[in-house]
Amino acid sequence: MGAKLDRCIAKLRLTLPMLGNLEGGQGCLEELQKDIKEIKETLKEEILRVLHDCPPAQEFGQSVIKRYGWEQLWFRSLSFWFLFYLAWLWLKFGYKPESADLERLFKSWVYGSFGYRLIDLFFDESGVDQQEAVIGLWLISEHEFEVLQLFEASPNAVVHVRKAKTEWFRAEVQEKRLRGKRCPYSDPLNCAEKAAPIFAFFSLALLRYGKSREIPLYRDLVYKLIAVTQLLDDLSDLEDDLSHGFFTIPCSGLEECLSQLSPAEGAELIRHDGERMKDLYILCSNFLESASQLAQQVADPLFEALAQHKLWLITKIFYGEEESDEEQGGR
Amino acid sequence: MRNKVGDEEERMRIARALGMLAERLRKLNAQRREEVKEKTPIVYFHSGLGWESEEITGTFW
Repeated sequence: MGAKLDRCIAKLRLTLPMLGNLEGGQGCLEELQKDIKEIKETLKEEILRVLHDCPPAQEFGQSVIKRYGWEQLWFRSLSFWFLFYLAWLWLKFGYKPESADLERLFKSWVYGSFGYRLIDLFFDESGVDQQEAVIGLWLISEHEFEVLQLFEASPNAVVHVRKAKTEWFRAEVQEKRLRGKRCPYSDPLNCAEKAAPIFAFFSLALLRYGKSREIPLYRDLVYKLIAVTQLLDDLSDLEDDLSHGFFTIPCSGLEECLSQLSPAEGAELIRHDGERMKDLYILCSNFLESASQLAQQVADPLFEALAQHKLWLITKIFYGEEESDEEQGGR
Repeated sequence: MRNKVGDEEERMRIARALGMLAERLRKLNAQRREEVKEKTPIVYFHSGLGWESEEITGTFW
């Protein structure tokens, strides 16, 4: 099984105390980042290992990664959330999954992430191999099998997993139904719905440890964090989304005008609309403030620090670096 | 499923450090939000700054 995975997660636990050394927003984190970088490289090897064991198509992992590359297969978000989740399980519940449980948990994250991504690629990209979509469906069911084994498939756990899957498929249907017409989300928070399978991991752990009353608060918190990432992603992917006929939240209200423009012109129009960009910044920062308050409510400093760190990050993204004291003094 | 509470102190230490980090960032963020309140955002977004970019997902690591 995953001896490398065991060692890699043991290293994560040794590395975590460095989080306490973050300073300001800058984070003097070279050592932590160096360790995490090594952990991520090991995770890549381990992902290939568990995909190699994929019964419907042996050695499928190699070919799919060769075809799309790690980036297109969402490696960064998978590795971030998987490692964050392990840190959270330990800090929140004192639970450190060892060997067999860790392997199960890892497979579940990898299968879920690759499964949903392959279905997504199948619908949105041209030239996707049909067998990859079929394998994607198998991976989703295997992801559910593994996670339910781990969290002792109680009727409540099954309901949570089903709910997450339904939410993802509903969001996908809505996205396809309104393609080329309008933005599918009347409430911006709904743009996080496709991350429902990520949230299911958190809700299952809360359920398992008798904290089911905190599930709605965590849902709100996780969705707000993910909605911000999605909104930033939408802003950066405007050209690509518009060329596929997707009107995302930054396009709201401009659909008619955008359909007359080329994707590049449309993206330019939105990014140079100062008021619109300001509204999006306010929306993102309000989500993050709220997420931070929710984290305080459930006494979760890991999520609280993540929300505040993200808020620092988005201000930098929208407005650039803060002015140094020296620069301010010189004016 | 829960491990024996042998590392309770370590967990508490990290939780305290994270709480302090959140507090420092909260102050910094409140100050920055006030600074940018009346300003128009710069145009920084570009293709490639997506889910997979350091800027967006590069939170703690």
